[in-house]
Amino acid sequence: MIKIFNSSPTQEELFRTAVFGVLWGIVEITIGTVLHSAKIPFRGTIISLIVVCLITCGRNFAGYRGATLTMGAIAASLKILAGTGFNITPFAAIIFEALTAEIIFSAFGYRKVSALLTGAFVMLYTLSHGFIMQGIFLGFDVYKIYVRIIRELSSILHIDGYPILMIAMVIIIFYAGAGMFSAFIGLKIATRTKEIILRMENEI
Amino acid sequence: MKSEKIIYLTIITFAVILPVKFYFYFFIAALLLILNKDFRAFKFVRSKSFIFLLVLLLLIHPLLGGEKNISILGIKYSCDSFITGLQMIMRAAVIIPSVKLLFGNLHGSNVNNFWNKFGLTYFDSTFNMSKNLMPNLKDTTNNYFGGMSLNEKKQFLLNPIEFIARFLAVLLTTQNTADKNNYMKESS
Repeated sequence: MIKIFNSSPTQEELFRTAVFGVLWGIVEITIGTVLHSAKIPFRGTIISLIVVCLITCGRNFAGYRGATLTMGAIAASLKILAGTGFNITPFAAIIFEALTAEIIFSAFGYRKVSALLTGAFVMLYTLSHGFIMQGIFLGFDVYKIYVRIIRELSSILHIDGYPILMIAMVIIIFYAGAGMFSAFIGLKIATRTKEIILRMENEI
Repeated sequence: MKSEKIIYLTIITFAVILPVKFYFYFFIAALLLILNKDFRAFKFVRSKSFIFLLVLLLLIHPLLGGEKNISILGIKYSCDSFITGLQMIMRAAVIIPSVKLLFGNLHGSNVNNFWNKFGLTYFDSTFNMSKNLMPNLKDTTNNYFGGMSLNEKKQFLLNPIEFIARFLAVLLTTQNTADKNNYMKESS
């Protein structure tokens, strides 16, 4: 067995990991199912924004290396066991989101900047998830085909490449900004929760 | 079961590394093998995203890209682009069901083994805690949100951060200490 994370969390931290893992799983199962059946567009984006909030908040309570990946593994496993069965795309999305956050938090530690970076990168992953999965399944040459189709269409419609590039940039900036905002909310919730817990403990 | 996994892993590996000139022979054999195992693994072909890719790679791409060397009903078409698209679709049609069949039997204790293999050493204990947490989490959520007065519900909309923080505090502390100790004992 490979041991990726050389950390020794306390039982309390493991318990908190379990709590946030379950919350992530419930969001994926309940909200995911509701949005899917209601055929609401951008459901992946909506779920990812909630997940970013959970990840940044959860990492504040379980600060050991591997905590976020474990939360993601719990969420993915709960989704499999919830009766929907193994579905590659959502499973991969959860794991890649958790992995993205884990890499950033492990590399830079848990602080405001790393949390905001996590939010931005998780959302950018969400934006590119479909393309990444297409690259894996169809082969990475599919990107060349997309570029060729866009070039041909823009020459037929006499559209310069510049507006297309601008639209793409605006979408990327919007996603990164939304992720950072969600991470900021997650940080706020974590700080406030800690204050409330401290007050509760003092009252006891 | 183990031999089946080896078969699916081999199929995925070959689908990724095989040179283009062997594509058709390999994919036909792989497709027949997977169809024989479980044809339900091909449910994805009905999905909108897969149909979109079919249209894009087999219709739009040959119409727009590559050297136009065929004419169907007066419309010039690129045979090379069509073959490239077809190869991509076949690759996906083999990889997607193979991955689904490879990991499709994940359940219960299987899930623990799966994550342990990937180096998540604390997955066992945390996942057991999670399973025990589920029913209590439902009760705590019902009590917290169900017990809100109309005024509190209005405040929730005005200041969601405060209410979510309170909910998390309840969950992390009064998800109570006694129960928490039980989970920890059970999982250790």
